[in-house]
Amino acid sequence: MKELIEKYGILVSSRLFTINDQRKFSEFSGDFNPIHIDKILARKTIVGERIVHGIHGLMWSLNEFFKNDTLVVNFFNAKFHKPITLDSPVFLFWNSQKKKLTIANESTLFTTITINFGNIENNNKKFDIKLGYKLTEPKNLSIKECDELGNQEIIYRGNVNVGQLLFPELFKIYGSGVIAEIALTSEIVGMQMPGLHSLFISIVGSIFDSSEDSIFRLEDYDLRFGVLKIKMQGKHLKSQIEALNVASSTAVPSVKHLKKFINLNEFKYVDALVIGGSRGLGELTAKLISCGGGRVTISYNLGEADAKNVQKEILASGLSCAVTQLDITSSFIFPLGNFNQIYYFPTPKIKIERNVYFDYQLTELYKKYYVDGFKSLVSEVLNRKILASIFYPSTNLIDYPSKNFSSYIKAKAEGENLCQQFNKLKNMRIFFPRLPRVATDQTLSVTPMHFHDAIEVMLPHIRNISHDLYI
Amino acid sequence: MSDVIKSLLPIFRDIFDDDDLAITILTSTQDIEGWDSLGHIRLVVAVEKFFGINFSADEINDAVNVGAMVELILIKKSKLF
Repeated sequence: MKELIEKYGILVSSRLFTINDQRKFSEFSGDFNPIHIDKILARKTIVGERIVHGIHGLMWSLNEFFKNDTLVVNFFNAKFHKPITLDSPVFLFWNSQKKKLTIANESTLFTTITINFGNIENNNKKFDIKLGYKLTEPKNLSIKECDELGNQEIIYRGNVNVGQLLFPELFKIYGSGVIAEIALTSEIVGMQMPGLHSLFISIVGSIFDSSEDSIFRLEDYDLRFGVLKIKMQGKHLKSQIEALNVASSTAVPSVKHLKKFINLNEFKYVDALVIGGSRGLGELTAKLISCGGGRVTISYNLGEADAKNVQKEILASGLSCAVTQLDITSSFIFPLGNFNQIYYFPTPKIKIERNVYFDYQLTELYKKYYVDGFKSLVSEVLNRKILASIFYPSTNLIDYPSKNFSSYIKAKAEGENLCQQFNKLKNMRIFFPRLPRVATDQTLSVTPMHFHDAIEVMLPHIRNISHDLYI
Repeated sequence: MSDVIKSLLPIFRDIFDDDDLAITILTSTQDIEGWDSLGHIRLVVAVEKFFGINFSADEINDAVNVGAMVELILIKKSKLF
């Protein structure tokens, strides 16, 4: 903490953001984008988990600041460097020389807010924003579609009473009109422009009173990165918003498409348990084996609906697939079946590490999946005397180390080591090839990246493991 | 080269919101808090706008230290004239 104070200024406040806090802010702002509140859908986004609304962090910071200071802020420049995830402690600092509020913790800088003080002329604190019903789901617009919209009317679709409970200091100073307008910028980005696949990255706002205008529009954009610049002229807030229209989840090819790559009945002797088979490489493996006439049981941890969809697609093609729940990171019941192959794909979101600090939490998270979970699985296989070949996907980043993935590489190398040790045991056959980076939900990135084709990567390995079944 | 670094400094300070930030050709993503993928995009967009140039996808991925970015800027600028 001492280092953080030296770096960012005096400690103003600290807190955790919980799912209940998130729901309240959604209610207040009208921004119900699933990345903030839906555990399952948020897994498939670029962040891989639920995140705090950027504007929620901004409003909390200002509210905490005003508990100790009576000066009025009439300008703010907020940058959301990294999304704040739920249930992790964050700290708010104030640097009076730089007039800067910072939200950070020991390993991550989340948000910086530079502010200016000044009067707000004729601040009569009235609420004069047009009201509307909340959108039932976020729009999902391309940048071109956003551009075609032109000027859009600003409508407040939240519940201002909830906001008063969340940010009482802000309401006291500014009144409900200003505060509702700051909150609804979150709704503009998260629900409307571009909506579903958005990330709020910065806002520069001037608070005043008052204007007749009440519009927002796309002012500029960069199609390569999906960057949108939105101009908003509200009754009390004039702002420039920067947002990203990020890649949506990477869909695994359909069974119909995959059949083209598989010989008829080439996997007919395979009875596979695919752990983590509800999406990504696990889903692809399950589909490939099914297409070759094999039987598959796919397990999911949280994504029941995803797993059921995969099953539905496989069954609809007249192929075989069962579904079971299994959380490899806690005690689990091993699924029933005469499996001769087990594929191990459980993984958290794989993050690019560009932090200056060593990310202890991330390392522990990777180890939980790639080392401890795998150890539990093999122990079960040994206890139950199951004679199955096991597939453990390692990474070629071990051959080409990158500082950006050091925690990931470390955990995978430890997993490889474990495979080598287990392979010394009688009847144990673990395959642990070093796979290149392929495009899945877990490897989505905002920067353009080169990925290998997942079918070309996985199919030779499935054939290799299945080879012995024919001898 | 030093002129380009001088021009880059205010851009870096603005993007990473650090008025005391200093950069050299050796400064990389590891050295600056916030120079992650999001920060990289914002930086690239600002640099392109300032210098009136455009980077390709490969160039964007390679420009993960100031030296590489300066080199790219110099090459792109020389092609403009």
